[in-house]
Amino acid sequence: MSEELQKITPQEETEAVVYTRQWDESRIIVLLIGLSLLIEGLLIYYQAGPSQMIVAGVTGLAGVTLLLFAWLVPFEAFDDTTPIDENEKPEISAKTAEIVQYQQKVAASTAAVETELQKSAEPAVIEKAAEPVIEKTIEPVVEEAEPEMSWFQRLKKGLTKTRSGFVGKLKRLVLGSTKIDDALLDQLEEALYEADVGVKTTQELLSYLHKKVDEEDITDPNRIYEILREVLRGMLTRFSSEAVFNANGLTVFMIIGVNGVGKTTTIAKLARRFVKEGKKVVLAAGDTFRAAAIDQLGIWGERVGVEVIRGSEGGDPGALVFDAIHAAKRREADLLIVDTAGRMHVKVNLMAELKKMQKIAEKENNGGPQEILLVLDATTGQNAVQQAKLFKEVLPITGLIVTKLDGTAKGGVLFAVEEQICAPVKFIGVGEKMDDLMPFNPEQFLEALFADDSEKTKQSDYLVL
Amino acid sequence: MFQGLSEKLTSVFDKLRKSGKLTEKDVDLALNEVKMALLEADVNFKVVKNFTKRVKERCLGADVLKSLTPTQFVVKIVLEELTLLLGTERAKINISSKKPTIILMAGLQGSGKTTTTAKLGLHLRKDEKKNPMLVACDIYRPAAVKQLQVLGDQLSMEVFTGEAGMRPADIAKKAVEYAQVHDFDVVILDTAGRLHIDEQMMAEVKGIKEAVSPHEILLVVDAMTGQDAVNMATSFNELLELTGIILTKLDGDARGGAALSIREVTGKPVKFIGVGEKSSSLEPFYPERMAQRILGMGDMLSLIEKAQANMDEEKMKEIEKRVLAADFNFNDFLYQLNQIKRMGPLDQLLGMIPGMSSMAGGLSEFSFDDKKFKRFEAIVLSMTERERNYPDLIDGSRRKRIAEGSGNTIQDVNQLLKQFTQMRKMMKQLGSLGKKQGKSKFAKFLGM
Repeated sequence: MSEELQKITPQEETEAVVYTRQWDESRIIVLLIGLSLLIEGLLIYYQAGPSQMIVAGVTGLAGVTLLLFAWLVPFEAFDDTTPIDENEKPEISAKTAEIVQYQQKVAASTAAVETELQKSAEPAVIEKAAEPVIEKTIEPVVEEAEPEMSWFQRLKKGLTKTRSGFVGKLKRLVLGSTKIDDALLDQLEEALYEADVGVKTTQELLSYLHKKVDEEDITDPNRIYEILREVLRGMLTRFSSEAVFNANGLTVFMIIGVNGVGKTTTIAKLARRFVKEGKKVVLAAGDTFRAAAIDQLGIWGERVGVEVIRGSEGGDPGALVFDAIHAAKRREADLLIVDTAGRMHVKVNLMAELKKMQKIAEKENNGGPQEILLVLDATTGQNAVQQAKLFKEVLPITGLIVTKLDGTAKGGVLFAVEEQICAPVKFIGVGEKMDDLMPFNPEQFLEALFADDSEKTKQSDYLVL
Repeated sequence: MFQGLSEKLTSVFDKLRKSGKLTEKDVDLALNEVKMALLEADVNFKVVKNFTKRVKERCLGADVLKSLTPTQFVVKIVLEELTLLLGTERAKINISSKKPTIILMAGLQGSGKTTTTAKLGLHLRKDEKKNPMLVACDIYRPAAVKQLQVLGDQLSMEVFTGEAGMRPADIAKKAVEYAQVHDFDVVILDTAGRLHIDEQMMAEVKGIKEAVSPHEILLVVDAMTGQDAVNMATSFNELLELTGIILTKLDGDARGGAALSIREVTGKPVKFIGVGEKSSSLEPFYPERMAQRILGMGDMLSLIEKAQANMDEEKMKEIEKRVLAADFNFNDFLYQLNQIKRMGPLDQLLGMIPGMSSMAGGLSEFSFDDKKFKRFEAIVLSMTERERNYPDLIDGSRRKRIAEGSGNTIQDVNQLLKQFTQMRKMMKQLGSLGKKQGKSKFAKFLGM
């Protein structure tokens, strides 16, 4: 036992080891009991108060110890049936005590803070920020709505709101400086954070820049800008952005994402795009959960002129996928796009439902959906990485669709997301109009990412719908 | 994997090996961790900068309390400031003395306005005993009106819809007139989602406001929103003079830093949070909990609430006693497993306990549907009632029977039994520890 405890120490020091620890069955069992006891201890304390302090304390302590036991003790220890020697006991409890002390610290600090908060809550003084944080100017620009724009014009229009922006800001920043100093790099860092690029990616980019500057002895601030852009472009062009089609027979696209990212609208736009390309498209209204989601897709179907296969509200989406694939085949369609209900990526059972839909598509159409596209809202921050990760655990995502890029949001989290799922952005949404979904172009995205917000204005697209 | 802030700070201060007065360098180091934690939580960069500046001033100005370690001290100040910033008051819906109270819901597309409208209606009826009417002013998104109607039907709540060709402002006006005639207490106007830079649409919502002068103008914000939250909130606030915020989709794992950004730039309180798809999942906003969530510090209170909702108190006390007497048996074990199962994914539960979030790392892989977990359940379920109550009874032939009955090997059964015995030993030690050390020490341990 003492040997094992010594073995633990080096592991504790290396974070990587701790994180990759396998949760084998035995560990989980111990952990579950520990957790349960801890929760019970807490609950007893909160319900019965100090009178039950000892019971609560011992239970909580037992829970914490088991948790730590599950966490720290190497697996082999579980096989050790030798009774615990009396002599070794103090050592174990010393270690436990140490661990417990640490837990104590954490618990005590939280508790202390809580009590302090209760005290300080009374005066209710809210310090106002010394200066307004955001400068915002809306310059009204009157533009005629032009229905007959080329895709490039539309993209430009969609992204002009973000134009003159980060790139502009960065250029100004870089051109305004005569040398590369910490202030410049700090400002760069700030610009990246503000575009939602995220802590990890930003830090990586910056350390890369630092390295480059040192290695190549760069003194021209312009080079910094070029290097950064090159790196970012490199990140965005790792994977091919082409949508994949089944060479002969039906192609199935499955559209997934959390609630409210714009899945249904995006499907309508995708359908419109492929209809224009001369494909026969069928839609499957797989969101059987949200009120009126089926009707929403139905109305879009009519507008685009494609058939929508519907199930009943509250029905089994898996069965719908089955029906839709057979219906699409009978109609000799080229493409079936399956809508799914928005779901929080932390809901295990809902994720299992997606898996089932994919499995059915795979079985009924000789191979899985050709594209499983995760729709992300450009306004989403760092949580997008978590979303991508959990969806990817369940489904082999083949690409991303980023919506709402016509706002002021930059969608900088994409870099981290692409890395997480090892798949590219395939389409972006830049407006409310039917033609405002386009294939992803890394160059233009970078342009927009680096764009300033000061000149952003938008003409409504609704009225032309 | 994101570590809890206090753990990070602990490691910073451990490196410094200092106690007592904090030097500026210590504070800077610590605040850098705070900054990263906040950025990771999607708090706006500029808001973070202002915030850390304030915290720094407070940290440097004050002596570290003797009873606190530097880590605890910094965490305390950070949490206090965060909570202050998020609002100290419990914000409620202002009910106007003159009927009907008019509430306008606004926000970006996909933030959850329609769902929240229905939830708010239910809250007002259930908790405030009001008679609300919902109004569908989103005439743009296909089937948006239908969506509100369906939700209204589910809650048997009246939904007012305009006639074809009516503009949203007219619908709102008509709805208020209708509510006056039919004696509704509250009118909740669901509006179309709009981008804050879309001038026409922003003018439209302003038109609605001018037509009915709402008592409450609530901005519905997705908790997952990133840095852009400040731009959006500023535009809406400038145009509409918001009275409050509703933060939605907090049932995900977003840290919700947007709440902080918005509060800082608008000064308006967060009134409610949306925590699920059901109409009942609208909850009041607790600043302390949100502060802890943003910092990734775990959320003990939520955990306790969850436990209260899912655990049976009587049964629990029974198990307590047996734990203390080292009499813990397989029935208790099974019971506990099932209770935890009901409380949600393991990594989420662990994440709510301060200091445990790093443990949750590898756990997202594991779910209760896991075959491994089922195997354990099967083994325990293959024991007779007597065997479960008295695990010592289980001898060689019983093991063989259990293994066969549950479709496992004898080794599997042996392993489980071994662990179980070890655990009981440990509990026994703890039990005796508790008796020896007495009350004061445990009170101290709990720190509560």
